[in-house]
Amino acid sequence: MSDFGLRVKDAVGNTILSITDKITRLMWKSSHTSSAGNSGELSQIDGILTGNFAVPVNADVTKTAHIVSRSGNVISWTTFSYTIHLSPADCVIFCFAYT
Amino acid sequence: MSEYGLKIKNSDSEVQIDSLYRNYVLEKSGSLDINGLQSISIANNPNPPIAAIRPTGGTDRVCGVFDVSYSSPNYTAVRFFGGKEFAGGGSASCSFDYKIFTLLESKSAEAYGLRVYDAAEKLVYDSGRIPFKILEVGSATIGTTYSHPSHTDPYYIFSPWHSGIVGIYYPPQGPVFSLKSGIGKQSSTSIKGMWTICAQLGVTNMNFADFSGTTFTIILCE
Repeated sequence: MSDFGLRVKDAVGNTILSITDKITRLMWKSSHTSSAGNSGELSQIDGILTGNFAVPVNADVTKTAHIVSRSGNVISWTTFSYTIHLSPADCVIFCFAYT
Repeated sequence: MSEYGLKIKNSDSEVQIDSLYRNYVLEKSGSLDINGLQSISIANNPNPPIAAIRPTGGTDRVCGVFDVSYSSPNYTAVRFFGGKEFAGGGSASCSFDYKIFTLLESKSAEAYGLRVYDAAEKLVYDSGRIPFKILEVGSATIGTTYSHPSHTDPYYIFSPWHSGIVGIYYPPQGPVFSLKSGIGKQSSTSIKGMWTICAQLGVTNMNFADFSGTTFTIILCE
């Protein structure tokens, strides 16, 4: 295959970005309060692989972040069903493209 | 937002850099050996950080990212946890490496290379920063080893961490533990999700257990 793309080197000639690198980019992030579950369509992730996850904010030992899933271009986040001494945490949901 | 600036694709025609979607970059890295929680401060930033861990302890040691600390309008810290697998009993520390990534508003000190800004003059890419890079995404189950033969000693993000509560009858009364799920190193190419004790909540005279789940997303990164 012929060369395609861009090479970036630092001041001493080390390659920082090569034409084969895969760069992870933030496609979407959103903050949600503890009780919220919802979904949203992200047209920008059509045809690309993503890593999707939730990070708890100001949690404590009784709280857990949301479950995040992807179906097609729709990202969904849901809270757990709890019985005793567990409740959902506030969280930030991230969607990163890695190809 | 409309397109602006530069779009670069790699040799597989996959987008590496464009004018719309920013790269998270490394802010801080280090190593911890803890039994419990430890907070690592970051520079005040309105953008939420993400943190990845690389367990380095024994196969029965467990660690994870507990949460991020927020005090309006800034994120200020990441809290990590470490300990011993609940199933084996006892208490011990867990050693692990960590990396904290974020969106930095300031350019690097590098005077050579490439910077790309978006239409709002926010940094999209800066070759003077170390970018967050996902290598693999999979699904794992607590208690089962997850192998990743294509990547050696990567960092990990897992989501969600699960919670559990367990009461142990031990006459006349036994402990009630709060558990958290974390991951432990099994080899350079495998990890396992495990439970560890987060707190003792009280005592009970009955056996019971309640867990939020056992499956989680595992993200390998560097």
